[in-house]
Amino acid sequence: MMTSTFLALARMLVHGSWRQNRARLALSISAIALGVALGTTVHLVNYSAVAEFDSAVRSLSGDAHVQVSGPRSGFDEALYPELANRVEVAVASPVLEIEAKLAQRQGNLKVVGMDPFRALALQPALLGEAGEQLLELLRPNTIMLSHAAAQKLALAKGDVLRVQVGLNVRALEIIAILPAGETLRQPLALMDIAAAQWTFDQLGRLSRLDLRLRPEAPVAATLESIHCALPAGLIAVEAEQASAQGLAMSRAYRVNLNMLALVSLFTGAVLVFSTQTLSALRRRTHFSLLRALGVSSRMLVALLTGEGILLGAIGTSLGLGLGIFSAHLAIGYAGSDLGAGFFAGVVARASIDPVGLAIIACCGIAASALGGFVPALEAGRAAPAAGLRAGDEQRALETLPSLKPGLVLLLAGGVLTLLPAVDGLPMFGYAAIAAVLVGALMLMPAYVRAALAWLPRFQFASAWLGLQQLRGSPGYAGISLAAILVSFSLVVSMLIMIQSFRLSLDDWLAQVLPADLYARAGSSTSAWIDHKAQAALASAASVARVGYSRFDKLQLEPGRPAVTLIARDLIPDQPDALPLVSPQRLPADGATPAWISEAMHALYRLDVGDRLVLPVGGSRIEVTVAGIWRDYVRQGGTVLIPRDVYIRLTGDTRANEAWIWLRPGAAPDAASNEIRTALDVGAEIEIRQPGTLRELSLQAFDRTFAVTYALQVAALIIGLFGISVGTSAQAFARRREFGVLHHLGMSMRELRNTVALEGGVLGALGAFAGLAVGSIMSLVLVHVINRQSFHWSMELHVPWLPLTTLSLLLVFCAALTAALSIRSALGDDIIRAVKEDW
Amino acid sequence: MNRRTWLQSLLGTVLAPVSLPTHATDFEPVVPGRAIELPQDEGSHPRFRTEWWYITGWLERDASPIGFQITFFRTRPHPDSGNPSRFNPRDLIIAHAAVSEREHGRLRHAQKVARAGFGLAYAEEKRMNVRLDDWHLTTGDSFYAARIPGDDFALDLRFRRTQPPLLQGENGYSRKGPRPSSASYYYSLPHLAVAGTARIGKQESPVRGEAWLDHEWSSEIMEPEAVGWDWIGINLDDGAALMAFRMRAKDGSQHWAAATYRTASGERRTFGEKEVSWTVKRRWRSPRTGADYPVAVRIHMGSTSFDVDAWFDDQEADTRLTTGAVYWEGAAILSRDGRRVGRGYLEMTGYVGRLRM
Repeated sequence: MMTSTFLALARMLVHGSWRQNRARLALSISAIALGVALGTTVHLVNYSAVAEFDSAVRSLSGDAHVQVSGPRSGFDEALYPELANRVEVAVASPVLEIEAKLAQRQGNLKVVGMDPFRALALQPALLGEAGEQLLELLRPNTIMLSHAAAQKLALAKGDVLRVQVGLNVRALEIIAILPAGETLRQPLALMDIAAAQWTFDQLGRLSRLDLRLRPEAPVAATLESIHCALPAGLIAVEAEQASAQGLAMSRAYRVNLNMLALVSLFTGAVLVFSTQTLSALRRRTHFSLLRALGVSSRMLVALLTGEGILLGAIGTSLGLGLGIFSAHLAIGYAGSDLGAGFFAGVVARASIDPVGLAIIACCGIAASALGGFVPALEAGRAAPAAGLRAGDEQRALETLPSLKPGLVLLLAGGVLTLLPAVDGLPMFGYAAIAAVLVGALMLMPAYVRAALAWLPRFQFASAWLGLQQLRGSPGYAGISLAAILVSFSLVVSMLIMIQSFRLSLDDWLAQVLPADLYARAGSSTSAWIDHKAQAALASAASVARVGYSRFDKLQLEPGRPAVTLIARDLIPDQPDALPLVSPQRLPADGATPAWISEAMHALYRLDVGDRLVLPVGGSRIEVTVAGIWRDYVRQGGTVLIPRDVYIRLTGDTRANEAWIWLRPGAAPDAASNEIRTALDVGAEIEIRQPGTLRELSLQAFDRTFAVTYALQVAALIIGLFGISVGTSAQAFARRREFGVLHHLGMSMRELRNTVALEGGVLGALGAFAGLAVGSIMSLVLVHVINRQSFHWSMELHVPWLPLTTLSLLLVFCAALTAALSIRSALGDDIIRAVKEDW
Repeated sequence: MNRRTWLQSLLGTVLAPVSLPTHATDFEPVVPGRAIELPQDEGSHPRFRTEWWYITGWLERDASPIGFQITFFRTRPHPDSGNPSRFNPRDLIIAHAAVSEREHGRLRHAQKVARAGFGLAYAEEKRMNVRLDDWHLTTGDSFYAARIPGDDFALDLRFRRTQPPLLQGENGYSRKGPRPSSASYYYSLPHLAVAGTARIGKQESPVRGEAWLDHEWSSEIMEPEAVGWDWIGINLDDGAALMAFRMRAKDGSQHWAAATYRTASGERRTFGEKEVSWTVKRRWRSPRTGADYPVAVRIHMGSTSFDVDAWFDDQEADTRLTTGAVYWEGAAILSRDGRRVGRGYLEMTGYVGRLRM
C-alpha cells in the first residue's frame, strides 16, 4: 500500500514537474554531463599517456627485473660481462639507445641497439614475424622499423633510412617492418647493438642493461648489491620503477591537469546543485500540498534525492560518452601530452580506465543527488500551510547563513598556502584553492545583499523594479551566482597564471640568448659538432667568438628524474648571461664552480656555497654551487659547469650547441650562410638567430597551454548555464508578478528590460566576485602550486585587456540570457499566470 | 614467431649454411689431404663457416638408463664485416641438449644461443673449450667436461678417452655429396667413459656410462639436392665403433652415404657411397609434426648389415611452431642377426621440409 502510494506520488511529482519544464531538465542534465565530460576527457588523456609510456618502457625490457642505467651519454660496456657473470643474474641484455637525428627531414627517431639473442630472452615477442630476418639484422647498416615508425616516416621494407651522426649522414637499409602488435607500438627502430655502436660512433658504450634474475635470487637484496657495485653515475632500479622514473618528470604536469579536471567537475556539480535547489524552491507549493496530504518529510526527501540521482545518472552517462569521445579526439589531434612535449615519441592510443571512470561517475551522480537532498531537507522542514502561500520561496532563503564558516575557510586557505609540498606535489596548494572557492561560495548571499544595498536607486520604473527584486531575494541571487563564481574565478586565475608565465618566459629568453647566432647539430644524441667543425667555425671570417655547450643527463638518485648537465664555455665579460635568481659567489678556494637551476635547489636542497658531487665521465667530481639560476626548460634540475673541466674529465670535445658572436658589421643571414659553407654541411646544422629561437619557444609554450584554453571555454559555458538557470527559474517563479505588472500597463519589452537588468547586475556581481576570487587563486597558482610542482619562479603579470573583455562579455551574456528566459517562462500564457495563485 | 622458432631456424642455418649465398673466399674450403692434428684440432676453426662438438651416450643410474645428447655449435652468420665493436657478431654459439628417458616417453631438451664475445660465449682455438653463459664444454688434464644446467634437467659429466680418435672419411676429410667441395673435417671419439651426475626434474643421481663425441667443421656441408640426413654413432659392446650416414634427396632416395667401422683392436674400414644403403623396417609418425621417421632401419655395409632400432619412438625435438629444423635425435640399439651388439644414437633431419627453409 505504502509503496504504491509512493510510486503514484513520485509519478505525479516528478513526471508532472518534468513535463512542465523540459528546459530546466535539459539544463541540469547537460550541466552534469559537461562537468563529467571534462573530467573524463582530462583523466583519460592523462591515463592513456601514462599507460602508453609504461608499455613503451615494458615492451623493450620485457620481463626484466632490474634496469641499470646511467647518463645519457652512456657508460662503459665492460659492465656488461661483469653483471652477466653474477650468479644472481639469469639474463643480461645490453642496450644502446640513441635519439637519432633524421637526416634530410625533421625530427628524431629512437634507435634501440640491442643484442637480439639477449633481448629475445627477455621479450620473446620483440621481433614478431620479423624474427625470420634475425640473421640479416646481424649485418652492419641494417635496421628494422616498428610499424608506427614506418607509417610516420612513410618508409617501407627495402627503403633506406638516413640518419645524422655528428654532422655526417649515414644510410641504413630497412630490412623489415616489425608487425603492428601489442609489443612495440611506438615509433622506433631496432638495430643490432654492434651495428648501432659502429654506425653512431658509440663504440664501447651502452646506455642500459636489463637484467632478469634467477628465480632463487632475492630481488631487493640483489638490487642493493648490484647498485653498490656500480661505477659513478649509474643506478640500478627495479624494472617496475624504471617507467615510474621516466614518468616522474611529467608527474606534476599530469597532477595539475587532473586537478583542473576535478575543478571542472566541481563547477558542473555546483551548477547542478544550484539548478536543483532553485527547482526545489520553485516547487515548494507542490511539496507543501503533498505534505498537507500526509506525505512524510522523509518520503519527500527520498523522492527529491531520487530525482537528483536519476538526473545525475542520465547526465553522467552522457558525460562519460562525450568525455571518451573527446579524449579520443584530443589524443588524436594533440597527442597524449596534449602538446606539452612530455611524451615526445610516444604514440598515444586512448585507453579506458574503468576505475577512474567509475570514480568520476560517482562524483557526478553524488553531486546531483546532493543537489536534490539539501533543498528537500529544507522543504521537508517547512510548515505545509506556509509553503502553500505565494512568495514563500523567498522565505526559505531568508535565513542567511552566518558569515563565520565562509570567513574561516578563506582564512584556512591562506594558512594552507604556507605548507610545503607533499611528495613533490602541491597538495596543500590545491586544498587552499578549494578552501578559498568554497569559502567564497558561502559568502555569496551576504556579498549580494551588501553589494545591492550599496547600488544607487534608479529612476526608471523597470530598473527600479529589477533592482528591488534582486534586493528582495539575495538568497536566489546568491545561488544563481554560485556557478558563475566558480567558473569565472577559475578562468581568471588561469589567465593570470598563464600571462605571468608567458611574460616571465619571454624576459627569460631575452636573458639566456645573449649571442648573435646559435648553431645546433640537433636535439638528439646522434648529432654533434665535432672538433673539425669547431675549427672550421672559428676560422669563419664573420665570426668574432664562439662558445660551445655540451649536454648530458646524469642520474643522481634512483627514483628521481635525470639531471641535465650543461658543460659550457663561460663568457668572461658577460657573467650575467645566466638568469640568476641568487647572488653569484665564485668559490674562493679554486674549487670548480657550478651553477644550479631552481629545481636542483629545491629537489636536492642545495644553496650557494654548498658542495655537490657529480658523476661525470665515470668518475666523481666535487663542485661548489656558485649561483642559482632560473631554468624554464628542464624541470628535473640542471647543473652548469665550465666546459674545460668537463673536457678534462671526459676527453669529450664534442659540442651540441655553439653560441656565435659576430664581428661588428656582419649581417646574421650572410654569416649563417658563410658558416654553413665553412662547415661544408647543409641541413645537418640548425643556425638560428635569437629572435627566431624566442618565437619558437613561445609557440611551444602556447601549444602546451592550448588545452587549458579549451577548459576555460568549457568553464565559461558552464558559468553562463548557471546564470541562465537562475534567471529562468526566477522568471518562472515570478510569472504571477509579471502577469500583474503586465496588467498594470508594463509592456513585454519593459518587462524584458527589467529582467535583463537583473541578469546584467547579477552578471556584473559574478564577474566582480570572480575577478577577486580568481586573483587570489592565481596568486596561489603562481607562487605555491607552480613553484612546488615545477620549482621555478615567475613574476606576476595581469592580462588586463582579456580580463576586462571577458567580464563585459559575461555581463552582456547574463543580461541576454535573462531577457530570453522571461520569454520562455511566460510564453503567451500571461493571463493564466495571474490566476495561478491557488 | 616465438623464441623457440627463431632458435630452430638458427640451428637450421648451422646445419645447412649452403642456402645462404657466399663467396668462395669468405670462408676456408674443406680440401682432402689436410692432416687432422690432435689435440690442436679439438679447438675451434673460426675460418670455417660452421663447426660442432656433439656428444651422445647412454648413462646408467640406480633407476633405468637414460640417453643424452649435448651439442655446441659455432657458426659465422656472415663474412666478417670488420666492425670494430666488441659486440661484432662474427660467431654465434648455439647449444642444444636433450635427455631421453624411456618412462617419460619423449625428450626433455633445452637450447641457447648467443654471440661470441665478452667471455660470456666463445669457442677457443687449439683446445676444446666452448662456453655459452653457464653451459660449458671444456678440456681438463686427462678428461673432457660438460656442464649443462638446464631448467628441466641438468648434466654435469666428465669424459675419459679409452680409445684413439677415429678419423672419418679419408683421414678426416668426410664428403657429403658428389661435389668434392661439400665436405667436412670430421673425427669421432668413441667409447668415452662417462661419470658424473644427472638431474632430471628434481631427481639428481650419480651416473656412469659410455659416450661418443663428434667434432666436425666445414664451410659447405649440404648440397642443394639434399634435404636432410640420417646418421648413427654406435659404441659396440665388444669395443668396436660404427658411424654411418646418408644424405637424402627430396624424393627420399639416397643422395650420398658413407660409413666407418673400427674393431676393438683398431682395424678401421670405411665404406663408400656405393657400399652403404639403408632399408626402412618401420616408420613412426610424429603426432605433432606429422613427420614420418624411419625409427627402425637395416643398414647394409658391404657384405654385412646391422639393425638400428630406436630405444623408443618419440625422440623428436618438440618444436611445433618450427619453420625449419625439426629433427629426431635419440637413443638407439644396434643388433646383428637379431642379437643386441651395441648402443648409441640415431639422428634424422629434414623430415619436416628441407633444413633451413
